[in-house]
Amino acid sequence: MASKYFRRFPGKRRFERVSKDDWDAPMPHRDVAGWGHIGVLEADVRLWNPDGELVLARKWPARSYIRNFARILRGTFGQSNQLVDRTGTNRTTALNDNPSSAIGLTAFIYQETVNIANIGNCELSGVGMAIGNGVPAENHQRNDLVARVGGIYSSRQNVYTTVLNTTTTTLQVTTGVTNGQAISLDISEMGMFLYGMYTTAGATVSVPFTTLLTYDGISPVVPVATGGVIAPRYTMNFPI
Amino acid sequence: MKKIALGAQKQVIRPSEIMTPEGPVYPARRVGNTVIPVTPAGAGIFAKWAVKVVDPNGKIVSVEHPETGKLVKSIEGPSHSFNRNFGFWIRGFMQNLDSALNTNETLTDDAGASFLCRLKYGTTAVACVTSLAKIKFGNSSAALSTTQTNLQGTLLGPTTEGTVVVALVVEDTVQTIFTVTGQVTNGSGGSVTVQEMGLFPELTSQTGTPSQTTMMLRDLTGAVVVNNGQTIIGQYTFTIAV
Repeated sequence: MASKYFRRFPGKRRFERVSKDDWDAPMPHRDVAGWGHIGVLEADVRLWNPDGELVLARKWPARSYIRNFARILRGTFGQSNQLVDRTGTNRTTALNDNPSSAIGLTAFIYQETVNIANIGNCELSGVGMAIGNGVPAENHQRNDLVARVGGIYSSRQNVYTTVLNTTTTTLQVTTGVTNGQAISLDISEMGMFLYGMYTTAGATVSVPFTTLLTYDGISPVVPVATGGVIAPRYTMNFPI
Repeated sequence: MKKIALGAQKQVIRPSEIMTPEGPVYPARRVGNTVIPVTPAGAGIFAKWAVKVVDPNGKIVSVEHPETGKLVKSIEGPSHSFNRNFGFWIRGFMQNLDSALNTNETLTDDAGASFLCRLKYGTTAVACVTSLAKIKFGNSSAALSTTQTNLQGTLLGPTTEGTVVVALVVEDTVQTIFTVTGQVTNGSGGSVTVQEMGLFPELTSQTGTPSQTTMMLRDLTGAVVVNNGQTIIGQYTFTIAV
């Protein structure tokens, strides 16, 4: 029986049918034009039919982290900036401000819960995944999927550390989405969001928001039959 | 006019790119007054490092390139170097760091001390936030490892770390490029051969201890001689593109 695993490797334009072992292997990374590949990002989708049989598994180099991820990096190294939520509104998340300061905005991503005073809504926190059926448009300044199908599904419980050794750290984020509609859906895009909150100086209420971290078109589209399950996944590898 | 039936692959809207055996790249382009060099397309984060040496008057000193032996004004190379602290830091953003469940990320500072990184701010007084990051230079050529939490050799000093400046080069529909730059002056009284450099964001622990200097990148520069009184300037350039 032909393999259901397809993979597109860096520098290639077409998918290749591969064995499951080759599909599972880490994406090869190499310097490109003198730049070191220090954060490898790969996307994949797996599709099961309603009786649980794996129908398709397709993996490719992601394209790629959105500006919000870059802004988190800039914040990590000390530059105050704002994340952009999925409606296009700037949200203050000054990672480098002293939270006790009364000067300006002293917000920070509130990772714990949307309901600020308790932990009663932990599902809406951390990272989330989404799929859509719009015409993909990979734009570094994208804020949301073109045509999201359903909501943004929290994947807090689905963040995996798959490899942790002296040469790499690998994280994976995934979730499974069941097509509960009466018609088949052609899934053509996927994205990873971060749930955050921001607080202005002196404010007593934090405002929740979602911000897009990664976005990828899925081509060719993946048809998901009624009752079928699609699992979009991102693999983040930080190799030495 | 030739009619072309567009399939899903053709409908993906992307800027023009060139496919190389290494992977797709965007050609050099101009954004306003800024010339953007050839940069990798997609597939995550790419970075390079650069160092140069200046004398006490700020004049650039020619240094011997560790590979070619030629005298050059600056040396640069591809970065290979997020260590485990960085992976945990990113994991911290993606997981719900819940103090009640005690699942805060454990990072390790440059003294080898573990601390809980609580990515949270709000009604509580403690938080894990970044301050200005630091840059350091050392004299060890020990191989990179994700488990390292500090440079491996003797640090260039006596002030061994310099505060970095982050500068945004471009952020548009194609990519973000930004630089992180810092410097350290050799006041040791003799010459020092720098072999390594690293970036160290400063964090506040869950217990409220500030300025936990935490290495997230380390790279090998090759031998760069810095005489007494001279200053070495290090720069990381990051690019993230669709």
